[in-house]
Amino acid sequence: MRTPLLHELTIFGKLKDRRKVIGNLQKLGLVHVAALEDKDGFVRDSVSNDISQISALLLQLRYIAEQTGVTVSYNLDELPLLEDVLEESKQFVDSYMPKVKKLASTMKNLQDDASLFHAQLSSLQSLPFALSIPASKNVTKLVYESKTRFDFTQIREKFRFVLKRKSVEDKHYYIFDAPKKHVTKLCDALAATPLKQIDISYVVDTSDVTKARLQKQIRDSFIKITQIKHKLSTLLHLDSMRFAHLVVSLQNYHDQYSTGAKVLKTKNFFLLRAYCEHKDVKPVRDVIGECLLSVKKARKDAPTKFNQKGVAAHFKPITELFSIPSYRAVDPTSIIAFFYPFFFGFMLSDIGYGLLLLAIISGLRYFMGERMHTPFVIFSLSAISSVIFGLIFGSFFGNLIPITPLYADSFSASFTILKISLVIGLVHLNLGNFLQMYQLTKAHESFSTVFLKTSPFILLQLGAVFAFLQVYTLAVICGALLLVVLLKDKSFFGLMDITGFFGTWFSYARLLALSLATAGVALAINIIADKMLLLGKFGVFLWLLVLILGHGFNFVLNILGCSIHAARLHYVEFFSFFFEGEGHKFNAFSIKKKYGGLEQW
Amino acid sequence: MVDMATGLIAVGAGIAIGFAALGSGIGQGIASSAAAGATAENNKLLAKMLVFAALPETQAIYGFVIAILLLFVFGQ
Repeated sequence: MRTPLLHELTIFGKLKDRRKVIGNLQKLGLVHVAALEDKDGFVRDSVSNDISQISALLLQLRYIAEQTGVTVSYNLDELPLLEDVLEESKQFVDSYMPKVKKLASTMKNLQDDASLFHAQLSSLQSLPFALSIPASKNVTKLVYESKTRFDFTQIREKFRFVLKRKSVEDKHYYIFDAPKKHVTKLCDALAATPLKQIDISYVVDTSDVTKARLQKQIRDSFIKITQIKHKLSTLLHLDSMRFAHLVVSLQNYHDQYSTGAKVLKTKNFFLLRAYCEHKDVKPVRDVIGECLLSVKKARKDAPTKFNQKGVAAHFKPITELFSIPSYRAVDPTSIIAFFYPFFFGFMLSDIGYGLLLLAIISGLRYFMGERMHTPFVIFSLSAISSVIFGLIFGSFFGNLIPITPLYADSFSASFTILKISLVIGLVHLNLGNFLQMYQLTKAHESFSTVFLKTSPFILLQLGAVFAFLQVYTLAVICGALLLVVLLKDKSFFGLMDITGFFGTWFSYARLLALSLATAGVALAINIIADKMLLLGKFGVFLWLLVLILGHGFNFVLNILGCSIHAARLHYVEFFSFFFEGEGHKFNAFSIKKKYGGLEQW
Repeated sequence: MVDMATGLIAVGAGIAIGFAALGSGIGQGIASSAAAGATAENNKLLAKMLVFAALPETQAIYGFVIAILLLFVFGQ
């Protein structure tokens, strides 16, 4: 139940062997390399020179990938030699980079031109009148707009121009024909007024012809942009596998050389720290050659390794979303793998919604591939649980399809189901308390500490049971013992734990609450939909529409609610007994066989 | 004709859940807006912030439990 025991390895060897040792550890893929604290006489190994060439090539390959849209997903069998990878990457970059840059640059220019033409067309289309071209080459036409009429008396005193006014709806347009030599000063003077200039510098002909020309230019630009995008996307068509192979190989070497930063060195020797499980110590010893290996039990600051297998391993993200358990603390992932779908199904408890969820998550898994596998496992189990509870409570999209419940309808037996929810809560909390006892015992805490921490919850329950059974003597003894324990552990504030326990326990009533909420809203939607049938033939269409939209809304709302509350019952109520979340993840230093996308670079 | 006791129980149940949900809703609004701000600054906090946003719902659950008790224990 606890996270696995790790050993702390210290590898000491000749400086010339450090690259080989790090490479072998990467191939082995079993250790977590950790940074060493500074030691007297040792300095940090510098990696900047080794890694800069790899980083530079990766940046260039990333640029090529961004422009061509190629995805980097490759299953690497064996890491090739660094010299070969560097040589091939340089050749690849030299071969493709000029073409990619040229095409990308052309596309950018076309996009800029298209944006400009679009802006000009918008300006022209916003003018509610046609413009005539200036009669003379020495005359410049300017157009300004304003919401109010403007008096140009003061400006006329300084500048010569021909002015025409046009008023359209609530806007006033002023068209200037001004000598070219005065245009700049005139524009500066007009900029100080409330008038807004409309850019017509591109107008060379009457407005309709100009508009047609601009529209054609925009169309032509987009056609060319599409052609260039197609060229870019097919540029690496024949070499995409080679490209992915180079990127994944380089990325692994980048990881390898970055790990070198965790090494301490002297003039002739190096020192490296790593963590691994006991069974992996011998393979490590076999790959480090002549280096010395010191093995000791890991301390509390060691990383946390998850060792779930099968279905339970897929629930690791739910634990990690809250926090990584501390080293050698209880790992609740296997328990979450059972209770999360159980709670989810109890709260959703509808056959229709369960089947719909199963269909959606299966579709996502099919279309989106391997990265949806973990959500598929989590939500498909939750969906199956929901179908089972739907059968128990007889709910298929509420009461849309009448089903005889295996136990009882959640409305008519709500008080009984409330009791069942609270019993489930009690089981869950007692499991948490037991895990706390287990954790404290394994941590070699004294009996008194274990008793003080774990007995209050047990004494409270025992006292309640004895009181219910009317064995008042024992109930009073349990109550007195409870008070003593709480006061001893936390002094006066320990008494607040009594109400805290009840609050934690009653929180499980949300299992019934959400189940009723799902069924209640579904029932309301069905009632509203049935009213539509009274409207005749058109009513059938409305009935269907109300059902689809209503149940769709209820489905989305309750999937979100059930997911959050199933997680919350673990994070707040269950984890409060035992969870220590100050750990950091065990990252196996290994050859990464696949890099999914650019975001992982 | 519904007798006075049953009517009062129904009113009591409604008040219990109504006011509990009102307080819970106000609390959740405050918690959720803070959670949204925290998540905007650091995406990795999303899961914890969702939990904080859902914490005030506990009070609505207590009101719900009281309403159920009123309806099904005292109502019968």
